[in-house]
Amino acid sequence: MAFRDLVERFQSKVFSIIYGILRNHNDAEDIAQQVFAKVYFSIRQFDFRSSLLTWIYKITVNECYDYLRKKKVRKLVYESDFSEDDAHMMENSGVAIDPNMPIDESLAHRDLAVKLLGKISEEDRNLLLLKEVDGHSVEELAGMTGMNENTIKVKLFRARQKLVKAAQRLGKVPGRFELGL
Amino acid sequence: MHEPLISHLEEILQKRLAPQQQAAVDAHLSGCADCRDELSAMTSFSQVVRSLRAPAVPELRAGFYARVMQKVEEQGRPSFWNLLLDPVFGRRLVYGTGAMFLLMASFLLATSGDQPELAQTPVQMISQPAVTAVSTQSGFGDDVQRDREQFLATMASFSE
Ligand SMILES: [Zn+2]
Repeated sequence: MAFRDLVERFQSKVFSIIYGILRNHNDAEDIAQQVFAKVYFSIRQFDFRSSLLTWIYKITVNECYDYLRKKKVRKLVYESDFSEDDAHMMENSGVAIDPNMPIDESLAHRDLAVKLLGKISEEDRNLLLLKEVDGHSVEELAGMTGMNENTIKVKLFRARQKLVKAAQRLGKVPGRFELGL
Repeated sequence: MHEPLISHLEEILQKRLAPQQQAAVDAHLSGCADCRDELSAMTSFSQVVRSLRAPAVPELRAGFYARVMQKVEEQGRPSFWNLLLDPVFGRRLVYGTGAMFLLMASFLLATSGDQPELAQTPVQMISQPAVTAVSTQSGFGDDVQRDREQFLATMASFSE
């Protein structure tokens, strides 16, 4: 596959992942270019044990988090911890989470998601994103990563546990989620 | 012990549990407060992560590939590793290393002939004190600084 084919095949995917996280066209496109530059320089490190998509996905999400770290986005929850004000604002902005709430794209939800995913391992983060954001099934994830379905299920379960624990550690999870797991 | 939740969590979250599985999960949940709480929290945070789904992704502007290649060129300043990956330099490096190896091998062959047989018995060992004297002659590996200079000189001649 020529590099141009690779870019054309994955550019929309990469851009939509980044745009989903940042919601800014210019920044998302800049990071997408950076992702493919990284792919260009590190293609030799791709070991074929996982799919090309999984590998590019990993680079993409890492670039997003690098960008967020570098830019030190201060608004809402991107900084290292919630402040009292943030917590208060979130409690009053509908982020007190309701399991029956429809998929919501409010800034507060996205910020919370970015924040919590930043607190778990790269592998857990990518797995959760591939499952929840990209909508891949357990079966597809097994095919993409070369792991079996049971392993994927257990990994997803642990990743979800870590996400909940990360929220608890922040201590700003609404009362009903202060669980003793 | 919380097996029903662990093995069926993904189906539960997607509301795709088969009736039989649903019964098993319900039976466990009704008696396990930990799993109920955990499921409730995981359901909520599943929704939170899903908020990162991009609703309508705008189109990439035309000429994306050209801009990627521009970025590649900007970042392509030759570093040591880039040089190693460069086919021309890589080939030179291989030739240079090969030549160095030949040089060392011929040196070893040339000097090994001068070495006396290794002593087999304590008596022979005492009577042959000259074995170590050979290595005091100049050889590759004795003098790091000189070896380095030799190596660099060899490398340089292959880079020209
Ligand atoms: Zn249980």
